[in-house]
Order: sequence, then structure tokens, then C-alpha cells
Amino acid sequence: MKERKIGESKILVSFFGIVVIALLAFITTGQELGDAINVTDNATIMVSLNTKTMIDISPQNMSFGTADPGTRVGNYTNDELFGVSKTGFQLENIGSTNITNMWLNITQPSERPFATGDSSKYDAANFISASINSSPDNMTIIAQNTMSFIDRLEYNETRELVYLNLPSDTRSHGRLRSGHNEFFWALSTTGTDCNASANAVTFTIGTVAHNQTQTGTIDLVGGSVQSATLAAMYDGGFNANWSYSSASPNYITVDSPSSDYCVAAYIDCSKVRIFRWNADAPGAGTCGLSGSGYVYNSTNTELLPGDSMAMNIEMRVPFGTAMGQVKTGYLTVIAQSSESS
Amino acid sequence: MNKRGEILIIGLSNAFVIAVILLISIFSNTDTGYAQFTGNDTITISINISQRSMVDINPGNLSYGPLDPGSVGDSDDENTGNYSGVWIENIGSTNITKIWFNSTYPSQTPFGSGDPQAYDAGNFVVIANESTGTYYFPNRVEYPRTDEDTLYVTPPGTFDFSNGDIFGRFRNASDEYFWAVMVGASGNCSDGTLYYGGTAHTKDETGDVNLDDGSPSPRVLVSTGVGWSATNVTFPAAGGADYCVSIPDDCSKVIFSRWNADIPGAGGTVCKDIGYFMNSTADALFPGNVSKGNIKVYVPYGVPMGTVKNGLLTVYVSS
Repeated sequence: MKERKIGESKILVSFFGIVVIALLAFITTGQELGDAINVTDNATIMVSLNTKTMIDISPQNMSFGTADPGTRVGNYTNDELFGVSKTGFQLENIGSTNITNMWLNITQPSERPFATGDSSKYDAANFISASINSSPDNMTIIAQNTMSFIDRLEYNETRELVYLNLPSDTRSHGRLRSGHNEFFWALSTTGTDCNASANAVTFTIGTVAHNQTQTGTIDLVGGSVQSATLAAMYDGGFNANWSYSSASPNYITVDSPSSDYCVAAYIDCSKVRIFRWNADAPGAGTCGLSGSGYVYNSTNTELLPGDSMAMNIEMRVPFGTAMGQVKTGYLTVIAQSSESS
Repeated sequence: MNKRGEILIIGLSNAFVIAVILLISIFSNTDTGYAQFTGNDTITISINISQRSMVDINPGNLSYGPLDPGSVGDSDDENTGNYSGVWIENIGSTNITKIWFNSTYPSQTPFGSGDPQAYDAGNFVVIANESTGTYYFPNRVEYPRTDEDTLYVTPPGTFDFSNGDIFGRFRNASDEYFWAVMVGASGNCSDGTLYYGGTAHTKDETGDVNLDDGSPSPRVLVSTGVGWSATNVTFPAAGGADYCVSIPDDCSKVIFSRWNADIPGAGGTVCKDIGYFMNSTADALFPGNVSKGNIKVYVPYGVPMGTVKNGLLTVYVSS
């Protein structure tokens, strides 16, 4: 009998023990008995990046539709926009290095397109002007919202414009066509060509626009003009036979609204380049232009990976452009990093 | 003597006889040529396994690179053993019925910082189960860029940053999908509407940049009741990937999640339990069994060179 009591006592102790443990488990986990139990384990993920300089220009296509000669078109659309028009494009650092410089290249006509009657002789990119709209907050924007030609190629006039008063040593003359406005220019030289390494070459341009309602500056001797001295010429490389401004400041300020431009002239005086956003163009780094032809130019405030800047764009269709589809042009952005890749 | 001896033996007790037999038996185990004798006995081993839910994820480290921005890192780029994924082993004693992941992510937008340590490798991780093979982010966190004037993207309707509307992109390696959220009547994202591009923006393709054309159909955010709202979205160009898009009421971030049931909306009715990597009582992961999650890293464009901050991928199981 005594043995049995002892046995019953042990059973009671064990039962209470289980209850206490269960209660402690309930209190500790905060879960009701029978609830799901969650447990975890983890793995470390490590990723390293290559040194890679990359740049993205978007959108891929810009169609300015059907335009009249002598107009400026500030809106484009494309297949992805389904009829919605936009005014700008984006340059984004999609690589892994800090971009210190960015500039633009465009395609240009390979021969004088005017008076050919062939719209495919023109190049749509040669009509493009652009301005910097926005950029990273900590960066100084170069000529913000100043719409300027990226790199406008103009051939000289083959037929004399009899109403112009040109400098006496003019070898060629032409016009900067900027939509509805035209600005007459002349290349004068002390020699027989526009080799600025051998001759003193001067580019002169009228500052008052010639258009359908006004004559503009046609007196390039005593009228309102701007001029730039071209003092050197590349004799090799990508810019071979282009004369350029080798001493600063030697740029012009023209158009409406006005913009600063560097100028370069070909050795035979047959064509000039008037440019703002192409650091590859002859003399971009020496003519004294702010930004030196770059749309982004900073070694202190770099365009960091994942950041971007925006630019506005405008198509400036000259008078005298043949009807039909102008040859498709290409706008290229070039980015430079201080890192090798 | 012999007889006496015989009589004597006969007269011995049974115990003595048994002792003699045992003695013979002992000697029989020697090389002396005695007969063999074997015996055995059995004890019962009783073990009771406690109810323990445990999980082990291996390998413990995955190291990728160096990789290019906009690229995908897979087993060929994995440096510790060309691992193609992680093995999730049920090392406990209960049947695992649910598996999901958490991956770490940066606390603010790293893009434009120029610092690879501002990024988080966990935010690059994508996982596929072996049955479908489609890779999804457990959770990809994107921060809105209210200061970005992306001139070529058409925002929806009366989109206005000053109203609290937000804009950004879902970065999927070399593919990017633009999105915008317009706040609702509350003035925050709790009743906002999500607009997104149906085709990817890449280096060579502009993609869907018109967020105002009604295609894909905008998604109205549904409150999850915890200061977040969510909706499910299908990105057609990303392998038909379905994601739960979750946004806190203050519109401070947007999370695209697939395998993370802890993200508001992903583990509930709003996104139809999309957040579980495995969710089956009938096809549970039994103790000792292994489930594999194939892993890659989707590196976005715009990540600075160098070593990205290490991320953590955590597996959660429920039994």
C-alpha cells in the first residue's frame, strides 16, 4: 500500500512537470501549441563589378514628322510613344566608372545638298540643335537651355550672292541656316586657300538674321558682325585639313536666341563647321568656348554610375530643303572616364 | 578406482554436472579442439525525436564577378565553387510546408552615389525553383527618383512630382521597366495607382516609355492593412514574370517581390500568396530531404566598379 502511494506520487509529479514545460514553451514562443514554427538560415552573397565605361542615350529613335522648309520643330515622337510628342533625350551613365566628359557627334552630308533636288542628300542630324536641360544637382550646367547646333556643317554658296558686301579677300561665302533664320558668313584669307597654318584666315558672320521678312546683315564689312581668327590647321588625323581657332577667345556669338560657337574651315574654303557640343571638332578645346565642346565637362563633379542628364532637342529645317524623306541621321554620345576599362 | 570414480560422478549433484559442462564449454573455445557454443542477448533501444523545425542553406557564401553592369552572373561567374544555387535542407524533424526568402537591400537609392558599398548584393539576387526555371527576385527594392527629369518618358495623366506622385524603374539586369505611381485621394500611396511599361527599356531599345496609354492596364493599389498597399503585376518581357508590387503609404520605396512572403501583400490574399517559394502541405519537404533554389545575380546598369556591399539571403521555413 505504501509502495503504491509512492508510485502515484511520482506520476503526479511527472504530469505537473509536463504542464509546466508546456506553459513555459507557450510563454517563450508566444505561439499557441500546434502553430507553425518558422526557422531560418542564411547565405552571404558577394558581387564585384568590372571597370566598364558605358553610356546610354535614349530614346533610340526620334522622328520629327513632316516639316516645312524654314521651320524649327521642337517635338518628336517615335513608335514607342504612340503619337505622344517629347522634347528631349537622356544621357545616362549605365557603366561602373565615373564619367568625366561627354560630348556628341552627328552625321553630316558628304556633299553640298542644296540645289540637288534630292532630299536624301541632306542629313537629318545636321539640322539638330540641342541644349542642356538638367544634370546632377552638384554639377555646373554648361550654357543651360541655350539651344545650339551640335556640329553644323555648311558648304559655301556656289553661286555668288550678289546682294552681299563681302571683305575684299573673301575666298568663299555661305550661310548658317537655322530654321527660318539665316546668317551670312564669309571666309577671307591672305593666301589662296584656307590653310590657317600658312595664311591668316578669318571667319566673319552677320549677326542679324536674314529671313522671309527681313534682309538681315548683308554687309559683312561695316555691318553687325562677329568674327573668329583661324590660326592653325590639322595636317593629319581625323581633322586633317581643317583650320581652327588655336588661341582663346576666338568664337562667335550668333543666332536667335544667341549661342556661342567655335568655327572651323576646310583647307579649300568650301565648307565650315559651326559647333557647340562636339569636343572632337577642330579647335573645340582651344577656341575658348565654355565647356570646350563638351556637354559634360568636370573632373571634380563626375557623372556617377546610375546618374543621368537630360538635353532638349530641336530640329532646325533650312529653307531650300527638298521635299521627301531626308536621309536618316545619327546622334552619338561619347563618354570618357578617368578609369581605364 | 575407475568404478569409484564412476560412482562418484554419478553421485554428484546436477549443479556440479552443469559446472563441468561449462568448463568443457570454456575450453572448447580454445584451439584445443573442444566443441563450439554460441549465445546472444538483445536489448531494446528507444529514441523519441523532439519536434524541431530546422533548416540549413548551403553553400554559406556565393561570390560573383567581376561582372559588367547590366549583366547576369550565373554559375560560370561564381567563384567559390561554380555553384548554381543554394540547397535548402530540412535538417529538423518536422515536415516543412512553406519556404520563402528574404534578401537584404540598400536603405536608400544607391544610384548616382558613385559608391559600390551603397549598393547591396542581396538586392541583385534572383531565384528559380527547379520546376519552372523562371528566375524572380525574392525582393527587389527600387527607390523613386523624384529629381529625375526623364524627358523621353511620358508620365500618366496629370502626373506631378509636387503632388507626391513618384517615378522610377524596375531594374532587371539589362532590362528596365519604367513605372509611375499617382497618389490617390488620400494624397499618399495607400490608394494610389501603378502605371508601368510593358516592354523593357534596354541599351538598344527604348521600350515602353508611354505610361499614359493605358497599356498595360494600370493597377490600383490595395491596402494590406499594415501601412502598405500592393498589387500583382505581370511583366510580359521578363518571361511573363508575376510580381507582387508593394508600396508603403509614404511612397518611399517600391518592392517587387516574388519569393518573400514577409513583404506586405506577397504572403497574403492581395497577391495570392505569391511570396512562397514552396507552399504545400501535400508535397512537404520531409526531414532529410533537400530543395534546390537556382540562383543568379542580376546586375543593373549604373553600378560603380568595385565590390558591392555583401548581401544576405535568408531562407525561412515553416512547418
